[in-house]
Amino acid sequence: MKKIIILSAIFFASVTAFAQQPQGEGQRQGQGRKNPQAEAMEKRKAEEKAYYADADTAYYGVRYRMKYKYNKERNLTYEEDRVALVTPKVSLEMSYEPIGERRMRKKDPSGQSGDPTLAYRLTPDFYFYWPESGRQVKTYRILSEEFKLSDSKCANKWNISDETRKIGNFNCRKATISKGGRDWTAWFTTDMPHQGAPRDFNGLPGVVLELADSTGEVGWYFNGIVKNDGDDVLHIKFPKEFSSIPVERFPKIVKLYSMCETPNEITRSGVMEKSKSSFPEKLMVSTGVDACDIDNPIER
Amino acid sequence: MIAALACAGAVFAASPRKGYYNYPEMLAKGTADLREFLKSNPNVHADSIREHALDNLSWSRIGGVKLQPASVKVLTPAEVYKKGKKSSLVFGKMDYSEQMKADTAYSNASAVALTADGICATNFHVIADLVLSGALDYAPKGDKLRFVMDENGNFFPLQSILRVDPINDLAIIKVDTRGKKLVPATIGGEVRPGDAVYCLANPSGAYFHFTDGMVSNCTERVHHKSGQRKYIIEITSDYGGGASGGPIYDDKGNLVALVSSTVSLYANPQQMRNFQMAYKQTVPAFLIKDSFGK
Repeated sequence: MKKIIILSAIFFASVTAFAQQPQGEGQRQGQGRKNPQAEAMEKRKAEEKAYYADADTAYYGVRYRMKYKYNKERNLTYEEDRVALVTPKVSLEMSYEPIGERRMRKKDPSGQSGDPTLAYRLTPDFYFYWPESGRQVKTYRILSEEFKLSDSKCANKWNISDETRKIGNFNCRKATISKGGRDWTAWFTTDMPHQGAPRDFNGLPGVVLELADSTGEVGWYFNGIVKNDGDDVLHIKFPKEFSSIPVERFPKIVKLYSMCETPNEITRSGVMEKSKSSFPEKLMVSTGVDACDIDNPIER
Repeated sequence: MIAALACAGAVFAASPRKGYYNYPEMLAKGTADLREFLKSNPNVHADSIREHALDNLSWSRIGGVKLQPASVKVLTPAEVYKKGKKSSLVFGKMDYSEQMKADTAYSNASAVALTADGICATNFHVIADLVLSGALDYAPKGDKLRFVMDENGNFFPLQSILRVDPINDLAIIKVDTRGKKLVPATIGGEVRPGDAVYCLANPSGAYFHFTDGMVSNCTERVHHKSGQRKYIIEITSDYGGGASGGPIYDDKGNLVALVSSTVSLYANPQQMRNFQMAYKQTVPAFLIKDSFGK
């Protein structure tokens, strides 16, 4: 009984202390110490520099708006901003949200509103492709756990036609493929150098600006070119190491995390403490399209 | 004279009075009991639950479980309390306290028994930390075990997490009954606004706290990003922190919902000042029923 009372007292005392902490701590820390926010920022920058030390820098990125009717019965459509980052050696297709959000915050640090051009959806899947070898790897990040979901050689057999079309200022050529139970049409350009494509639709001799299936249910639509912006560099970082958690467990993990609507439970679980580093960036909670009530899978 | 009064006072204070319960004392006794039990049953350790959190977890229905059918006889509030208390459970945690250099058990939520052999329902947010950290192989230090306690002060350690529905804030768990039997709640049908309901849960500092009210709303929401559905029964019966996962009964003592959350309204919401009202959101019992079957 006594122990419970003591414990309760400690608990409430600690709540009170925590609530009052900012004033007292701020005053103490102000005396002869660096600003803790500045210190944290410096630490983060150092971590970022170390993490991206061996990363490739994209020459440019192609931004897409992905549109996907994931639930036909209820007529529900998912939209996400994606980007294909391109270098001669490797390309990476991923969610554009972390880049767009960071750039918007940089422009307007105190801004309350979001970027109206962003769909604010984030699926933490990453599609790497090395054109020379044809190797393609799909990874997925939950918090700071990197899972390698597939590692294969690109086997896409495209039919390239003579049909052409302009997308933006770029001359594009049509290519088609049957893949995963759908018939796809891609429009790719050679006006820009190297290769890049949505998802694992690799293997075309150019950069894909538009890709859609014949039903119009799934598509990636060109939404501009993304460039390096001073010290805001478009990194292509292939994970140095992957999670030790068996990949067989991944479907259950992603399902579990996809159903957590708010980050509260995740923060309270303490799991954020597993990795002390800020990099790879913990793509908090979001599992994007994998959280959707899907009755119309992309791969049918 | 003083000595005589002190002696009489001590006798008076020491005499248990029928109908009055010393729940904190039960919890203190439970701490000793659970410490011993844990020594010979490492499978109920929180780290073990975490390690196997995903092994037992299923999103499909749990087969081979028979829930108690609804009662039809309307009861008085006192009868609802008497019946409901048998199935209502205190949900607690035992962890190692650095300050006290010892393991301590304490109540932090509520639950309800669904079967005699230890299947219970509570909120997802009550056990979320175990599942979410366990899924990613993370075990915080000092977390020893989770348990439920019945009205008689019997302690049953959490054995596994069988099913979770984070969107609807529901978890189906299994406790080790240690050779005893739980008293399962009878499961009611649909309730509608105006129907009488009772909450019998454990808001912070109180145990088996009984409040009455009515259903004030039944709502369905579709998550705008995912399209997933969330069902809510709003009620007027009072509860607060610690009641999470506790049973809501109808006027026949049937389980019709589980406590989930409260939403507080303020005249100045930015400053959270001038409190106006709090409405209570609960998990409909049909979601519990839908967790079982073929």
